[in-house]
Amino acid sequence: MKNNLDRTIEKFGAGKKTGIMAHLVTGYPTLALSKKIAQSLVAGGADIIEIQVPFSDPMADGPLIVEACQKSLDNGTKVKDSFALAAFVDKTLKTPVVLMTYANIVIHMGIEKFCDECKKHKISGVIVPDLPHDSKEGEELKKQATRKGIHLIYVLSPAIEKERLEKISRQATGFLYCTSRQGTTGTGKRFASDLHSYLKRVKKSSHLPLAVGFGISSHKDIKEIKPEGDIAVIGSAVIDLIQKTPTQNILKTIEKFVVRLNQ
Amino acid sequence: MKRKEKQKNTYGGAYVPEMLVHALKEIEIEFEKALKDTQFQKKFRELLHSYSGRPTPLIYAENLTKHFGGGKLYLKNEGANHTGAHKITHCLGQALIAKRLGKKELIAETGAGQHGVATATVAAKFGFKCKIFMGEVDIARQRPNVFWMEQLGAEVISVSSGSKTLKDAVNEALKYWMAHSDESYYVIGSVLGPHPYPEMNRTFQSIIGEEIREQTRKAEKKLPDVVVACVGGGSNAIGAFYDFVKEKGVRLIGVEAGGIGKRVGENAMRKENGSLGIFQGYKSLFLQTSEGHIAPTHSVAAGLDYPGMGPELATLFREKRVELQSATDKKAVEACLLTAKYEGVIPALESSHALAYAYKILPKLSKKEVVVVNVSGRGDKDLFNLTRYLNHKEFKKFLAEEIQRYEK
Ligand SMILES: Cc1ncc(COP(=O)(O)O)c(C=O)c1O
Repeated sequence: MKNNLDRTIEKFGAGKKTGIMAHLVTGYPTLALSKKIAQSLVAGGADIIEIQVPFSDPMADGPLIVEACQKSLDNGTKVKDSFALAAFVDKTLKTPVVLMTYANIVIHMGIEKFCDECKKHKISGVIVPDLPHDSKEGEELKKQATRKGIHLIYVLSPAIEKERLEKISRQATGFLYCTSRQGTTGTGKRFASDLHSYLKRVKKSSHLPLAVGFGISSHKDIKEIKPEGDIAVIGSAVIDLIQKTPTQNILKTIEKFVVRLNQ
Repeated sequence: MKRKEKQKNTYGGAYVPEMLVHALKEIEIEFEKALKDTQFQKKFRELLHSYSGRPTPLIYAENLTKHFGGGKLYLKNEGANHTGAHKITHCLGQALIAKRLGKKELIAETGAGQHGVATATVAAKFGFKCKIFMGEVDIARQRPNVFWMEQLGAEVISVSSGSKTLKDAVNEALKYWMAHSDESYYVIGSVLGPHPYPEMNRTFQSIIGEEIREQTRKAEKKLPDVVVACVGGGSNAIGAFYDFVKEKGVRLIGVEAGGIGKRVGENAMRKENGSLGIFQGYKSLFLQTSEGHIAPTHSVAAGLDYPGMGPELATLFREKRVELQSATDKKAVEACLLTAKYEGVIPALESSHALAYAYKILPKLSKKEVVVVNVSGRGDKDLFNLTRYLNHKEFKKFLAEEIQRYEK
């Protein structure tokens, strides 16, 4: 059964444009702006929107996203706000949503209820970076998500060993999310020195599209991942822009930024 | 550690981003090899003896026994260890593992600074580079330990995210490790974090219980009836308890930080307020908000001021093998001062929680019953905390004068 993500992904692949998955933290800088930021990202040409449910302790994230999560929670953002935002992006902006959060948010809500909410709010895929595929909860989430037509997106990193890579590839759907390096999200740091051989390894293990994320912030970066990367993930760069731009210019600046990435 | 045992535990596990899977696997394999290596065992025991000063004494607390007029009280004095607490034990063990793995740098998190000092100490001893992650708030509260870590050659990194305390220091250490696991080894400071840390640290710390058994047998010709220990992450507690888990006649009591009140944010009582969660790489009981965020905590003892609990201890609690109790800040401080006055032992404020609970039950026990309290560390480190808590006018005056002498 194809969901919105599958239909979008069909546009990518051999020789076609590198897709863009743009990330935002629900409620950052405010809940009202989150909606508008999603709009600007899509207007600029983002193909998929990754919505992060803010968590008090986002383990895989660098300082910019940590701060954004903290600000958002201080603003009083609730988990249900992310679901509502997702439904808005899917329905009004006609753009598939991948919801990203951490294990504790999911198990606190209950895996089944979490998946029900995802389905109800038209979420196409979920990413839970600290929930390994071979943990009891990881297996349960996979089962429940699949049953409801939602992709569980697995995150891979350069140090992954062959056997584990093959196991994850076998059960993955949607796309595979490859981090560009060991470490956390954030701008300004370099990609792993063995980026291409690692991406080639992943490519060989699966026919799914590869998303590449962490530290991508320019058209040049996208070109660098292009040989193997089908989707570029833009995360901290957007938050960096939001921090640096006067509020009244944020939306235009974000749109222009995505347009430039795509050129 | 046997695989079967691991599967049975529903708490624990390794819930980490993919970047850390490889590093944890490497440690797991090396730790299992080390366990089978008699040279490793010998080297570890030798360090405990000649460097840390083990066995630590089991002190018969004659005056307090008389004072309370019930059970017979013994103090297991872990404060007699080098660097003043039980923490040095798992630091020595982990440093040996890091050496075997050929790592160049030790990193660690610290709250009060005890684990940071212990890690910096073993780094100096074994020739590792060392980075200690510490919350901005804790750095301000625990300056003397920061000073000592730096003298020991460690770099202390101030963590300004979240509540700027211990849990945030753990987050930052984990993140640094994600990016540097090739050359860095993360010395986790308690029986928590992802597998194999809880089992590994428990294995090293279980020497406490082994000694308690041996020393009580010598003194009393029997096993203790009750063993009491404070529970921050749970390393000194599981260390003291582990040897007795199968001895059903021995009551095992862990004492949590009751803080200043019963509401979330006023204590670290995971027994009362904790619920199942996945955090910092493991599944256990955590203090959480209604949305599943990690909740703030409070304790006068920085070492107990943590929202989670070691998975093995949580399992033993669920199986009703370990009792969890609590003691308030106030009761802990009273117990600290009482122990100093009656026995000439100045316990750490963490350990004072265990003492406070023991003092509550001692009068109700019979004279034949033997209670061992694990005094996990000595109280020197709490000088500033304690005097502030007591609003000690003379000490405050001394500090003000000291600044003037300093300026001269
Ligand atoms: C003296 C002392 N006791 C107890 C603790 C609590 O830790 P755990 O419960 O892991 O032994 C600490 C931690 O800093 C400590 O310094």
